[in-house]
Amino acid sequence: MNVVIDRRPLWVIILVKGFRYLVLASLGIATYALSQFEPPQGLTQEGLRAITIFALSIILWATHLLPLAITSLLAIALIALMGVMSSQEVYSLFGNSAIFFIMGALILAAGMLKTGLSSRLALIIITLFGKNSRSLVLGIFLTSAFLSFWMPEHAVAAMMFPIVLDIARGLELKPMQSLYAKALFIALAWGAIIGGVATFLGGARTPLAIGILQETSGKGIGFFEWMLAVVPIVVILLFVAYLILAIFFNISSEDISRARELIREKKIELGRMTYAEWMVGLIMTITVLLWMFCSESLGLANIALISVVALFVFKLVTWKDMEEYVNWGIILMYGGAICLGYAITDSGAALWAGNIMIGSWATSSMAMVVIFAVLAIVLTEGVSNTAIVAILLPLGISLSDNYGIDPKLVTYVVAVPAGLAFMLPMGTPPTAIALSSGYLKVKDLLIHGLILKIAAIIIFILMVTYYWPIIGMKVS
Amino acid sequence: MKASDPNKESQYCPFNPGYLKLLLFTSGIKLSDDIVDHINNTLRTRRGVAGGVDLILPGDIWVNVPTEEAFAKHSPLTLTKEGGKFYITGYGDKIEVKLVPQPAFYDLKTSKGTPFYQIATLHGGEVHITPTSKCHFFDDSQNCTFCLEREAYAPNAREFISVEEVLEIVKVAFDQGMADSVELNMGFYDSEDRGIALLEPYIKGIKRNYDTLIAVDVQPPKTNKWIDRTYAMGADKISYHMEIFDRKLFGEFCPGKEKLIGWERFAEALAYAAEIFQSGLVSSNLIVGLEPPPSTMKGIDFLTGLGVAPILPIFRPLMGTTFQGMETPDVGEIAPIYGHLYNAVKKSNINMTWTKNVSTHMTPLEGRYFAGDEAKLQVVMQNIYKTKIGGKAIRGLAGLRRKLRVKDADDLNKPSDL
Repeated sequence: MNVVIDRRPLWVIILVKGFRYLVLASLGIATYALSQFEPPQGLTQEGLRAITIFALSIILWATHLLPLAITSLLAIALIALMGVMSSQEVYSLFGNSAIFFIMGALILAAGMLKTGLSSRLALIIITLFGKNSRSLVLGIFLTSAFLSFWMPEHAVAAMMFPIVLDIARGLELKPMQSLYAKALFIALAWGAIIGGVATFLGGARTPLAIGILQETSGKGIGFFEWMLAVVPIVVILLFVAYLILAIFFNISSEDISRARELIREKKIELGRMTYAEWMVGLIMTITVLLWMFCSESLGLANIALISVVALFVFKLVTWKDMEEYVNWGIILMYGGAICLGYAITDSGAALWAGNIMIGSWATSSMAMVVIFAVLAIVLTEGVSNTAIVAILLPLGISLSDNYGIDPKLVTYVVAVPAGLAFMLPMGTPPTAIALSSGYLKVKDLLIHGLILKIAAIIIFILMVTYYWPIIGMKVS
Repeated sequence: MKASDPNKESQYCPFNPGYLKLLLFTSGIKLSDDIVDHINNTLRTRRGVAGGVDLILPGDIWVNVPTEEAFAKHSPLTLTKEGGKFYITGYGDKIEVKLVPQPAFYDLKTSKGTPFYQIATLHGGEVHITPTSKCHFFDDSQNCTFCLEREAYAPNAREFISVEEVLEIVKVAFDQGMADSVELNMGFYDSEDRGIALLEPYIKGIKRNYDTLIAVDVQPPKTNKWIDRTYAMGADKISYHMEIFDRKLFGEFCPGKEKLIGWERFAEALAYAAEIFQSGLVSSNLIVGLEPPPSTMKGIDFLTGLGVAPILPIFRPLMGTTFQGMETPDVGEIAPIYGHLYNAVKKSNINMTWTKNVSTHMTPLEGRYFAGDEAKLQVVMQNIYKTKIGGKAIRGLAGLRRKLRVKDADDLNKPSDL
């Protein structure tokens, strides 16, 4: 354990620790008290209770007073206990296909990590691009982005991190000072983040958003359909982000011959491609093709689960690997968020709350789209991006009818910006992983992340306005 | 006997246990013929600065009195026995004292056959354990010149005593009621952590099995993160012994400490530790008698300024060291140092009540006998801490403090991974 001693006065520490219990107790009492009130006009008793549980969950998700997954479990129990829905209904929502899709995707990613296929892919792409210092940054950036199309972005960042760290050390770049080192690590983080929104596989928020959409409106979005709408945005964002790196960081003057040597050594270390890597690669390719072209008929989750079974049939992974590589807490988080989303939509609470909070601002359908996109992209810096989806999407879907917007479009509008946390380590793991290198200051991420964030909002709104209508996605 | 004012000594002696302790440290004691055999039997397991006989003076003052060294043969004080009671006689006075009995502890062996006395000694309610006989200062003859440790526990000793054996020793010491806390000692290890990582399994093992406080007596690590780690692993008290404050004499008496650690690092590490550990539980020895008294007093001021409690053992020319046969310090010259110690610790608000009365050196609280202050509150508090409930309270508070202060660095700034 790497320890840190809190040297603040003991009374301060006790106050801070005690404050947590005080807040939790107060929240408990407030939740109970609020649920007993007479509901305001236009809201049922169940709706009031659903909103109360929803508010409690937002506070807990935002403050991390409890782990995200545990907050979700609490929400599930409260929905049943407070009579918003019957226990049977609530727990059956846990069987949503989105949950099984993400479970399958996580297991497939674990297979790539465990066999070393992901590392090999990373080294191949970096080698392809790493001819000079500028293209090495581009290589790391595009490798992170491309791999995040197919694997969770945090897994990509964790896998790329040791490679980039070795390069920075091998080039003897000075921590906190070298602009080139900063560019390498920011390229790793931003590449993973931007790539992570391109498909269903890069982050947990997209399958969650699809799950909430399915449960609340009965509609779905296909794998290819999503890519068609989002990949062009991703490509432009990648270009702009690389431009920011090139302008603000000195990425063209470093001698990278040592880095090329290091990459060569790593490739030699990996040796020839193993049977397991070939097989995982084959299964992954077939799976992605099926997701792209047969998801309507076969179902995303079904394809994912059959692929998982294939991994075990060929003994490419073991159950112990699954325990090590798969974040099972995410499954619980999803289940709770989907239940909560359904509860507040079904009880009419989401519509009621959306009208009160956003209805007066959103004077047009475009205004509503802009409000949700900006809220998602701003809030995601401080709150987990899956929590943002769980919070905003049910409200957005409930309001969509009033503004004549397709709930599917609202799903894009919330889920894509929610994944674009470029500035703070709390927002998403890739940023935190890059920061942990010791080569970056928070200031570096804050300033340049803010520039990229503003650019991202503008790009997103422009794409919604001018590109999406071309592919049949009109705001109203 | 080398007193600057023998009359003053004889005047102080019966009434001032602190002064008597000092006198016994420097003069030793003769044994009356009828108790020689009894005492010799007790001494056979002792070593180094604990090589004398342990007495308890009025005021519950523990003292380890030299009996074997040459100077003790000429002591004006004699230990006698009358009607089953022990007395110190001298200067026309007779004071009743208690002889710390030889505990059965020392006759025992661990399950692997190592005699307890080779690994552990008892000092006023604290069992001192040395899990390893290694001190790398001895490898290049850079050991402290006054140190006898190599001779004491190198022969037949294994490099490391197992955690299980240490636990056996602690169990017996606690069960026999001879101790309620533990000190783990270690020589110099030439590594970044200076060996503290090697003590970790012992500290954790003891903490897991016993509700007790643990002190560690080690060398300052190269980086402060190891001081954090020492606290986090369960050490409640820490000692980095500077031994000598004067920079030049420090290098002369402690060549290894000078060359491989450095005086400045001692100061840095002590200052940092004082920010991490509880007040009064970071200490450093300054050996009285190896440097001029004004230098020791400067050292006291320096250490207390850092928040460190100075502990002042008295130079004892041990048999087997290069100092054998040398004179012990002059009581009249060194007595004011202890008054200064008490005042300096009090002025710096360093807690002096948690330090146990140990027989081998003078604690800051014992310095009250030289400062003309009864320190009533501190004595009452120390007595409370000696009770079962008081002991449980301080152990509980120490554990709570650690729980509140120690954090896993990996948990900080950790993003949500969902």
